[in-house]
Amino acid sequence: MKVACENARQQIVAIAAEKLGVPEADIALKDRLVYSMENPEKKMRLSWVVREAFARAQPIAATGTFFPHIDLKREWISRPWGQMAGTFSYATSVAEVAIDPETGEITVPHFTAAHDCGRAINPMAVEGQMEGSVQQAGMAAITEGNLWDGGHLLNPDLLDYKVPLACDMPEIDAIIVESIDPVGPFGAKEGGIAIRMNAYSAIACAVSQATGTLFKEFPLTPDKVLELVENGKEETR
Amino acid sequence: METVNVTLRINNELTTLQVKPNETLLETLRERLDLTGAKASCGMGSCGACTVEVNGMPLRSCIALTVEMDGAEINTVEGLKEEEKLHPLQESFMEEGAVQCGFCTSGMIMTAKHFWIETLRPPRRDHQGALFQCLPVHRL
Amino acid sequence: MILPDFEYRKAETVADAIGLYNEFAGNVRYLAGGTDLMPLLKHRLSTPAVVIDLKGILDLSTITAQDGWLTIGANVTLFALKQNQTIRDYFPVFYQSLEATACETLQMRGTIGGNLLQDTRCIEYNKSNDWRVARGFCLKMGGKTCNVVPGARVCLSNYCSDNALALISLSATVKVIGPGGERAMAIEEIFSGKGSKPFALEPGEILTHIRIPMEKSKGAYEKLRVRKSIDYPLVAVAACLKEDNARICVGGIGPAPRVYDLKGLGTDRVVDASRSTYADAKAVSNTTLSPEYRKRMAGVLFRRAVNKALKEEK
Ligand SMILES: Cc1cc2nc3c(=O)[nH]c(=O)nc-3n(C[C@H](O)[C@H](O)[C@H](O)COP(=O)(O)OP(=O)(O)OC[C@H]3O[C@@H](n4cnc5c(N)ncnc54)[C@H](O)[C@@H]3O)c2cc1C
Ligand code: FES
Repeated sequence: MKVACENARQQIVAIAAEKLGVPEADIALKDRLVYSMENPEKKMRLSWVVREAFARAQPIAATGTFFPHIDLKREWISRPWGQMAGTFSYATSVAEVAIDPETGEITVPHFTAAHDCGRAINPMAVEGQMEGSVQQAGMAAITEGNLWDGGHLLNPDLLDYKVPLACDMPEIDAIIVESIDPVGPFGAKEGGIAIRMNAYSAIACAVSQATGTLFKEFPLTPDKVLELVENGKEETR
Repeated sequence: METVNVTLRINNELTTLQVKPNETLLETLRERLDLTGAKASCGMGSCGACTVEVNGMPLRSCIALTVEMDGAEINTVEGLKEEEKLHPLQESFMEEGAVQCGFCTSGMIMTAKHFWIETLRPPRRDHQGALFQCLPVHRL
Repeated sequence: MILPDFEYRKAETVADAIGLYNEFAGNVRYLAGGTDLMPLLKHRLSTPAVVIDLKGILDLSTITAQDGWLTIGANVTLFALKQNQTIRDYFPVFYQSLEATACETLQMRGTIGGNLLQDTRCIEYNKSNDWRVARGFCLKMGGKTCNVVPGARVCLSNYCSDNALALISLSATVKVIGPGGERAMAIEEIFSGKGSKPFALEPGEILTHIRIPMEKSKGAYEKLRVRKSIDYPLVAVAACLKEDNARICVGGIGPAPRVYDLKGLGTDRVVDASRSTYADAKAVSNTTLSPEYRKRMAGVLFRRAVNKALKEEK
């Protein structure tokens, strides 16, 4: 997106420089105006530049792509299991769970998530993404799953496919650990996905530790959890 | 099907419409009156994206008939702001970034409005694709 | 999803509604809040020629306390009942079941009459027409077999009203008026026990009032569900204690709730009675959790509900 914006800006600058008769390097954009930094009297409205471009049948439109600097030969040819990313984001999830030993119902009173997202351009949005990940990976590991009868999906609706609700959510501590990525846009990496990758593992580990036994299947609905609780008791006996 | 005349006061404007008996309030708002703030999602009363306010109470408009509403006072998210000033709930949703894609947000706001008291903070941010059905819990 | 075609009539009195019922030769559905009916219509599980709106019948919209009974009109919304001080003070089990029903927005629309007369549910039944055509019609849709238990001759869909359980535990009665006249009965008698046609009401009968004896009671409602809101019960238990006796109602499994009357509340009595729920519960794989688990939980919730109500008594 940043690259696309830069490309669009470049198109505006080129037209404005030509119209104002100044070098491109002298052009600045501010308050809907395009002007010369050397001689601020030389200016025109941005909307006029856009019109001009339109009249030239070359409307301001730009795309931008980005490909990480990786050694494709090394990563994909000589070692075909190589990696694609130019950087890594890191995250840690800590889940506290309480299990009702009689019914197997899980509640999650508290969830802590810390995330290295590069630069947090909009910290509130990053926190939001982290909280969303706790819901859609963490809590979902307890409630969400498809049920099948042969080829027929038994829960194709929002009543039987159980998306966790606000009242099912834990208290969440979302901790942003900033690191400035030298390549990412404004130093950013990504927001939230890393939590999504491990929020469910945190829930799974907590349940496994609480019940003293391992399991193979999500979601951790109370019927399955009760079985775990009972198997766990037998194993420790 | 016979059509029926209904008079509604929508966002403080009286409107008289001829509707088919099987038209839901959501269909009327969205398809005839261009009030597309209420969203059509599950259509079964499960999610709340279609919530509007009828006679002071939030209502899931996808499972309510327009003919049932004759004489009702209906408020949609479009009518929340006063002149150019947003409703405090709308403001706080913005300030807190309580939006992911925003599809369900108007339903959230119309539901929250009923439970709105001075101290209320909006529900936790970013329940992406949210079902927010239990706002009452957060009212506390 | 779009509703099928139907005509709409609004009744102003019960006699009006029954008149309309007769006029359209019974090809009608009564409409209260519509929170149960509209999804059924959208799924084409019911395609009446006429929908008769009962919300205009003012007689059915009041709550009155008189002659030792609390009389509740069928049109009163669940939300209004929750605000009622008598219910809070006298019938805690009912207050708790109201709280546990769906979510607050739906409680504002849903009525107590509609709640009691909501259709039974099954994971193979509450589906779109296309889904059901692809799967094949089951007993409840007029097909030849059950889709959950192949070969079964009876439908074991679940009756999922939360509030019916509480009202049964409170020994409530109901009044119905139909083309054949008026009658009153204990609330548990409205159930036929058959999943394909869950109510023992005569055609065209309208539920008008629910009456609860005005005696202070202790009670508790326990509901098992995966989410804490917007979830029908997977099994639920209502317990109401009066002195040394208890009336306990187990529901959410099978087409009709089950009632247990206990005399004496010693721990052994309670545990024994809670054990019998296991054999009584006819759970099959017709909802999201395993049937064996739901059978077991009936007993667990039974003990919890009684103990919670007992604690309250101290
Ligand atoms: C998402 C969702 C979740 C829900 N969760 C729950 C839940 O957890 N627990 C629960 O108990 N319910 C639940 N419900 C069901 C429903 O919302 C409530 O039971 C509600 O109280 C039904 O009342 P109503 O007035 O809307 O009924 P309606 O839909 O109007 O009527 C239901 C049925 O009763 C008949 N009827 C209504 N009134 C009368 C009368 N006076 N005489 C004769 N027949 C009558 C109608 O013809 C119809 O067949 C849920 C519904 C939805 C959509
Ligand atoms: S669209 Fe109305 S509740 Fe989902």
